[in-house]
Amino acid sequence: MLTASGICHSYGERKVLDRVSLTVGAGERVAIVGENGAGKTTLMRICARLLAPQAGTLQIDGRVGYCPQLPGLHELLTPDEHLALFSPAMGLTRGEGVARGRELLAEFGFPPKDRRAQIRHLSGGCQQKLNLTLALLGGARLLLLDEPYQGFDHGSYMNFWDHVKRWSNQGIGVIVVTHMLADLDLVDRVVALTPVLAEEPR
Amino acid sequence: MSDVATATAGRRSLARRHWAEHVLLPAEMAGRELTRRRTALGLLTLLPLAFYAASTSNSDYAPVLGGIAMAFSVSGAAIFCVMSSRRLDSRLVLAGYRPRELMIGRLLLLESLGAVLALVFSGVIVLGSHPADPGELIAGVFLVTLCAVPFGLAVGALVPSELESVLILIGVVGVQLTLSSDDPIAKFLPDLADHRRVPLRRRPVRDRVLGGQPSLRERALTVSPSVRSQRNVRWRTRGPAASAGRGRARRGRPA
Repeated sequence: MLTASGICHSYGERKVLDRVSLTVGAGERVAIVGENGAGKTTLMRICARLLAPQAGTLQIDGRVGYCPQLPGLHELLTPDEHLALFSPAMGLTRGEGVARGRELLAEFGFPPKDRRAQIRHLSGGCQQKLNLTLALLGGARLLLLDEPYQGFDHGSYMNFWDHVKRWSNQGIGVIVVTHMLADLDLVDRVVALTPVLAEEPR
Repeated sequence: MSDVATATAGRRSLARRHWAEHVLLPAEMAGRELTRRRTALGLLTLLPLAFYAASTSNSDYAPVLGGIAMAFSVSGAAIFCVMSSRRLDSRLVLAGYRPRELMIGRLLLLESLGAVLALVFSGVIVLGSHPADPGELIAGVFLVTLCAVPFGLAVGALVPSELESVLILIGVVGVQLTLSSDDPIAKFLPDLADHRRVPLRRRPVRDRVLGGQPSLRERALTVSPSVRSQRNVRWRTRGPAASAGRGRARRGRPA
């Protein structure tokens, strides 16, 4: 489903990823861990094809759903309008997309009264639930979730992992970036990234 | 044969639907977002009017300043429209939109908004400055908007942050104001002040007063290289042979 090999990336002279390889099969749950600056988000952006790697190869089969760490939603639009905006890109009509999105939001415990509130008036947890919903809307075969539960309350957090298990059972590959050690029991495999050590000047 | 016609009609219908969903829907959402920024919309309208009103004591230059402010407003709106959407745009493209579809949608929206603004501003100038040829003035003001939107979108798309984008916008308009029309650099700048070609009726008294400020008037009329020929006609109306020159120029204008 996803095969990345020899991925390298630098920001200026700072090397973030050095020959990283990752393989994820259908229905597999993979956690990516690592300290700050280890390149987790960079690797996810490369896997989502939002960033071109400076070296290495990437092969992905099927649609990718990407839930970034920062939602980047339009603050003055409502959740329903976001669902409508994403729908045609995913081959859904506006009505179908909004209806499907509302179902997903309800599964995550999103309050129905907030569906027509502007994003800037929503809590961080609700924004994150919408963020996650947008990643799932198009029926992705691979989900890239970059710390997707930030701002979730405990119930929503536990509910999230139930969903991950269900998606996995449906054959969807799931990659989750996490800092929570308790999460590691809930995945099939853990990939640890370590910061690339800078070369000492001679 | 009828099958071929049906298939063609089906393809056209699909293309129309694709266009409506992939171009007009992002434009609609950008429009919804923009209309909810009421303060920004108010400033967008007030800025050119304020520039115009503040400089009405110099009637020749007032529409130019107002037009520059309108170019600022519209280009600025385009820049911020692109910048505020940048993060979500990457997700929309990942989801299946093409970047050009998002850009065309935004262009249509902002050109429409700019057309409304140009209409309001043209009306104010026509009433306030009594131009000799209102049609030409309105066309000029609309041309300014037409140029300002794609310029703002291009700057917003190519420049990484808001500060740099706004500085580029200020820089381009500022350089355009200070360059002589003969300068080769002027030919490569976007024509954000094309309405300077608009002929304004001049009152003899004001004409005499303004005659003491040639550099200001020259800048007002010659920033765009395209107005060079008109400028020459205008400048002949001043100086020792003013009356003869003015007479020729006025006879040449449409009634």
